[in-house]
Amino acid sequence: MRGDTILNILPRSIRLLLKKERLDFSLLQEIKLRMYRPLLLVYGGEELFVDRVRGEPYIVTKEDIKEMLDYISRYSLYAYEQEMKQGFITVEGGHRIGMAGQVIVDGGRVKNMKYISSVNVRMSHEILGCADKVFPYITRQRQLYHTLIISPPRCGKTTLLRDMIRQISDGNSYVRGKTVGVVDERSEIGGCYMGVAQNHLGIRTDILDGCPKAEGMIMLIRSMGPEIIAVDEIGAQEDVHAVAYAMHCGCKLIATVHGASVEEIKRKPVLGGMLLEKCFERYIVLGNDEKIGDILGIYDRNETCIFQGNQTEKEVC
Amino acid sequence: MLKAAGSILVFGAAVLLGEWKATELREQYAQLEYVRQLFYILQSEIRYARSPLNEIFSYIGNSVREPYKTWLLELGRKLEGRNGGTFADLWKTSIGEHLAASALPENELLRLEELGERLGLADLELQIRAVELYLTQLDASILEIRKDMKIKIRLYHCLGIMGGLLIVILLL
Repeated sequence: MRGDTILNILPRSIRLLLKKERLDFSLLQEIKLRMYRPLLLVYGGEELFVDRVRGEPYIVTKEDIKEMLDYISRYSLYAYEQEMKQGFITVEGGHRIGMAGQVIVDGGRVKNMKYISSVNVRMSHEILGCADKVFPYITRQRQLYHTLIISPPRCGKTTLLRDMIRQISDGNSYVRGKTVGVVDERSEIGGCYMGVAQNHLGIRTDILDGCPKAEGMIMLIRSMGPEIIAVDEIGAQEDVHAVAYAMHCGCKLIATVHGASVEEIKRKPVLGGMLLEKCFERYIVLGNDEKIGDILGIYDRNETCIFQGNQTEKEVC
Repeated sequence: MLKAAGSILVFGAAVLLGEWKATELREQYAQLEYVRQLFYILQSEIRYARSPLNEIFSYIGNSVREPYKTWLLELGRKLEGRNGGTFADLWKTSIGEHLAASALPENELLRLEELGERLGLADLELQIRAVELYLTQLDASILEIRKDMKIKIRLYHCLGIMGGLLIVILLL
């Protein structure tokens, strides 16, 4: 099923090649198509060239890129004008399709993109249970702490967030089932198709798909009464203000941010201020030293390490 | 007796032929008005919901009558299937398959086929303008048919009656 979703958005010639390769799609991380350059896969953490014939890599053509754009936009590029401005489109299953080409600028701002020459497919991975080990550290008396997941790109922060949402929504031995509101600006958390989440997000989850984070959080608070609000990749000033607002409305927050450590986030404008004010009660820092999604450490609001990744589970630093 | 019966049959057939042509014209007019409604919905779905074309076709297809229902649902399925071909090709083929036998006039089918070359592009404003242009042309066609319709219908009826009478006289 997962393989089908990915294959469906690829040009037919590449689709056939990948079918022949008999790939394990759970190991496939990225597919890189660059016009007139060899087709490249990131598979199990390593680069892999796909051969057209033995020893001769498949060269991506202009028609391949055009066909793929038709498929990812479902023949309706106009419907993705806003996403194109950001440089990527999210397709069914939450896979992110990044694009590069010539940017159209209007009034000093990116309006759209043309002459697209590179397409990068980043697979969304749903790993049920990957958040199991964080729950002892982010809950107390079956209640959740405000939690910030800090991670560099491609280290599994969205995957972790998704599983946390699922478990909080369904309830587990650490937290009773709670109403979760998700603002999925880039459609990566839920992988929504026509408004319905394709990934498992639990039975008490309401999702606002494709909605700007700041507006979405306020909308959810006013309309759906969430106990928990979850957002991915905060950073902009308005996002941080909305997070602060949500925290003062009695909601618990789970958010992710790009970064390598708590110290680094403290130096970020606006968001750094929230850390100095100790708004977040727990920080989960991810890395990919050994494998993607490695938990390097979990810290409390005073930045004291309460779990270190290379130690055995539940071992406090 | 036989001659009289034959004359009545020939006359009746000629009158029915006239009536059939008049009905065809009325049907053509009704179909064009129906297509206009359909494209108003399409335009508003593009403008306000910014939905992809396959979703719009499936949505509209479920609430319209044949042959547009099959045409739109089938086209939506083909786009969703992502099995090759440009949008213009798929659009043109689907019109040939599902609307060729409809009451739409030939020139309207050609115009509809041409619209496919301007749909699915990157610019939202261009999409709306393309549908607007098609609707303007469709309005002009509807107006033209409406203007001549009464005269033409009367003409078909008269031709049926007069033609029938003429044949009867000639045969007698």
